[in-house]
Amino acid sequence: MDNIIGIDLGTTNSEVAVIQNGRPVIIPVDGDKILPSVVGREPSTGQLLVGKPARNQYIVHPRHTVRSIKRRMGQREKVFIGNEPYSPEEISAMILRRLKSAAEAYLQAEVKRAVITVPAYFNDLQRRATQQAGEIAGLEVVRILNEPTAAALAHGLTRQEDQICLVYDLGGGTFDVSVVERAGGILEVLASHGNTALGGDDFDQIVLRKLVEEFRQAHGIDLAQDLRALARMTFAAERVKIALSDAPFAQASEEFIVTKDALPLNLIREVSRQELENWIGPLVESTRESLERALADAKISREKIQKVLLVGGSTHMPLVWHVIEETLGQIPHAEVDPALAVALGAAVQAGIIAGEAVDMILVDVAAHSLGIEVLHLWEGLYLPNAFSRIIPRNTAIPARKSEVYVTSYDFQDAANIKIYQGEHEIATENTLLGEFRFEGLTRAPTGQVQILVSFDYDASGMLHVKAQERGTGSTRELTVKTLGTGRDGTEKREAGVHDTAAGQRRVHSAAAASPPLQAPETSRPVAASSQSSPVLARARAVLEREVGENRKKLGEAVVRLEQAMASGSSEVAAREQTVLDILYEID
Amino acid sequence: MEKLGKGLYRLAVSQESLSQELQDILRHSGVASPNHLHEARRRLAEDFLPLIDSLHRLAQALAQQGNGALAEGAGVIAAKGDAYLAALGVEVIPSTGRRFDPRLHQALQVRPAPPEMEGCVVEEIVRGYRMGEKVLRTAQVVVAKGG
Ligand SMILES: Nc1ncnc2c1ncn2[C@@H]1O[C@H](COP(=O)(O)OP(=O)(O)OP(=O)(O)O)[C@@H](O)[C@H]1O
Ligand SMILES: [Mg+2]
Repeated sequence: MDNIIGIDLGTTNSEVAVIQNGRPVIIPVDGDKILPSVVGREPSTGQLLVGKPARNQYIVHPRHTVRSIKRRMGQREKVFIGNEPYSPEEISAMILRRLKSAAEAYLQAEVKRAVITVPAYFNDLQRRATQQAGEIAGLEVVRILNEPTAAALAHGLTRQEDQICLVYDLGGGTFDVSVVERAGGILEVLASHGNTALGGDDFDQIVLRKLVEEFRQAHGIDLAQDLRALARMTFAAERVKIALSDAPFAQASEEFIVTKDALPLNLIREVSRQELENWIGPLVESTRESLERALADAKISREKIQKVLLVGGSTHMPLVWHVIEETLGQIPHAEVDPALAVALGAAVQAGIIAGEAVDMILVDVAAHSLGIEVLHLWEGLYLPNAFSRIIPRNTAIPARKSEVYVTSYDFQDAANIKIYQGEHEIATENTLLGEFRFEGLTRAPTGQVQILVSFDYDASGMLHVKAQERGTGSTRELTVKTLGTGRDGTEKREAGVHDTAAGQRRVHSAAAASPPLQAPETSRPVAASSQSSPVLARARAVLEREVGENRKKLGEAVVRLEQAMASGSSEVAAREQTVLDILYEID
Repeated sequence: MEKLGKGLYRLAVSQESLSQELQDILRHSGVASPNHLHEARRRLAEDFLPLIDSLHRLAQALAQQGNGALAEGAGVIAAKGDAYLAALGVEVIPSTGRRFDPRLHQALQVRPAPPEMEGCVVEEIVRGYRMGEKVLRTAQVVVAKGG
C-alpha cells in the first residue's frame, strides 16, 4: 500500500505521523516523538546535522546552524550555513527529508507523498514555499493543511456536519487561536489571531528570574552568573511549572547549588500554583484578547462555538482552562495529546486522501467534572455547599490532580469530604459519589490548617480520593466508582461506594455532623453554569458594582436563593422574587 | 550537618521508590518481550540519573569541606550508584578533553582557550549517559573557542 504521511513542520519542533490499522500514530525519529526543527553542518567534517545534534552545536557554531526557519518561509533572502547560501525551502527540506527517512524506516517502505501543515495565517507565498520544500525533499505534497484544521481532524471533526470549533494553540514559543467551521463537508478557518512571540518558554524564564532574584536577595549571590547553577535552575524552573499543572504546590529542590564562603548552599523553594499564576498571569490573560478578536473577525458569537480544542503543551495549565472557560463559557477539550494533535490530524487528512478508513483516536476523558463540596467565601459572603472542581470535564484520563483547602472555622478538628460529579456550581445539584470524614485535624484558627485533596482517576472509572493534612502525615482515603467515563457519554449506572478501609461505611452516618472544608480565598469559584437562574446571574453582576447597604441587602437575598436552589426547596420562587424586587430597586 | 542529613534522607526515600519500581518491572517481566524489558531498563536508568547526580554532588561538597572520612564514604556510595547504572548497561559519555561531538554533547557556553584545545570540551557541566546507541542524556559542556 502507498503510504501518505502527515507532517507538523513546526517552528521549534516537528513531528511525523501515519495511519496504521485505521488509527493515526506518531512515528519516532531516533527514538523520540519530536524532532527539533534545527539544521546545521559540522564545520570540521561538513557533515549535515538535523534535529538534536544541530541544536546541540548552536552555541559553538551559530554560523553553521539554522533555527526557526519557519519564520523565514516565503522570503527571498538566502540563509547561510557557513559560507553556503540556501533558500528557506532548502533548509526546511532537510528537516522533511529526515522525517521522510524516519517514516520509511518505520514502515519498511518507500514514502512518496505527504500532507504538511502550516499556520492559518500563512500567506500564499509561505504556503508555496512549504510545498516546494516538500518537493525538494522528494515528497509530493498532496495537501497543505492549516494547523487548526489538522487539530480539528484529530478530534474527529470529520464526523459531524455544521460544526464550529475554536482551536487554542499555546506551545513553547508561539500562540494562536483559530475559528474552524465545517460546512458542506469542508473544513474552513474563519479567523485566526495570535502572538508569534508567546509561549511556555516565556513562563519558564519568568519562574527562573523569580527564583534567581530571591536567591540573590537571600544570599547575595547571582546564580545567573554561575553556568552550572543556571543550567540546573533552568531545568528546575520548567519542571516546577509543569508540576503545578496538576498540583497546587511544587518544589524546586537543588542541593549544593553554589558555594558561599566555602560552604555549600541549597536552593529549596516551594512554589504554589497561586504564585505561578500571579507571575505569568498577565501573559496568559493577554490571550483573551486574541480569543475575542478571532470571534469578532469570524463574525460569530461565543455561543456558536460547539467545542474548544487544545493544542500545544502549555494548554495543560489550569490557568489556560480558566481563561478559556471565562471568555467562552465552556470547558475545553483535550482528548488528543495537545503536543501531537497537529501531526496526528495531518495523518488523518492523509488517510482520507488515500481512501483509508480512519478510526477514532480519542482517548478517554472525564465525562463530567469531579470535585468536592466546600464552603466558598465569595464577595464577602459565605456560600455553603459550593462545588470545587478538582478534575475538570474533558481532562484526559488517567489523570491525577490535587487542590488545597483550609479549615472553615476556628479549631475545626474534623471535616466532611463529599465527592461529587457534575457541572453545577452548587455541589448538591451534582451527583454524590461518596463521602468520608477526615478527623484529627490540628486545632488552629480558621484557615491555618491546609488540607491537600488528591484525585486519582483511572481508566476503569475508579476515583481514588486522598485527603492529607499538610505538615502532618495524617491522611484519609476513599475509592469511589464514577458514572460514565467514556467519550461515548453512556452513563454507567453503577453508583456505589467502595471503601478502601473496611468498616468505613459505618462512619458515613456520622459524617453529616462535620462541616466541609473551605476553598482558600485565592481560589476561583466554578463559573456559573447555564443551569443556574438568569436572575441569579444578573444579581451577581449587579453585586460586583454595588457597595454599602444595597450590596448587603442583595447579597443576603442571593445567598438565600442559592440555598433554596441547592436544596430544591419550594422557597425558590419566593426567594427569586425577593432578589428581583431588590434588583428592580437598585439596578 | 542537618542539611546533609536531610539530603541523605531524601536520597534514601527516592531510592526506595525506585527499588519498588524495579520490583514491579521484574514481577511483570515474565510476560514482557525482550524489547519491553530493554525499554523498562532504560526508563529505570533514566529515572535514576538525577539521584546519581545528587550522590556525586554530595561527595564533592563533602570533599570541598575537607570532610575526609564522610567524603570518602559518600564517594563510595556514588560509585555504587555508577556500578548499578553500569549493570543496567548504561555508560558514561566521556567529555572533558575530548573533541566536541554534537551527537553526544550539548554546548552551553564557549570559552577562549589555547589553540591546541580549540573545538574541545573544556568543562563538563552535566554528565551525559548512553545505553548502547541510544543517548539517554547528552553531556552539557563548555567548549573551547577562540584563544
Ligand atoms: N503539563 C504541562 N504544564 C505546563 N506546560 C507544559 C506541560 N507540558 C508541556 N508544557 C510546555 O509546553 C511547551 C512545549 O509545547 P509544544 O511541544 O506544543 O511546543 P512547540 O510545538 O515546540 O512550540 P511552538 O508550536 O510554539 O513552536 C513547553 O514550554 C513545555 O514546558
Ligand atoms: Mg507546535
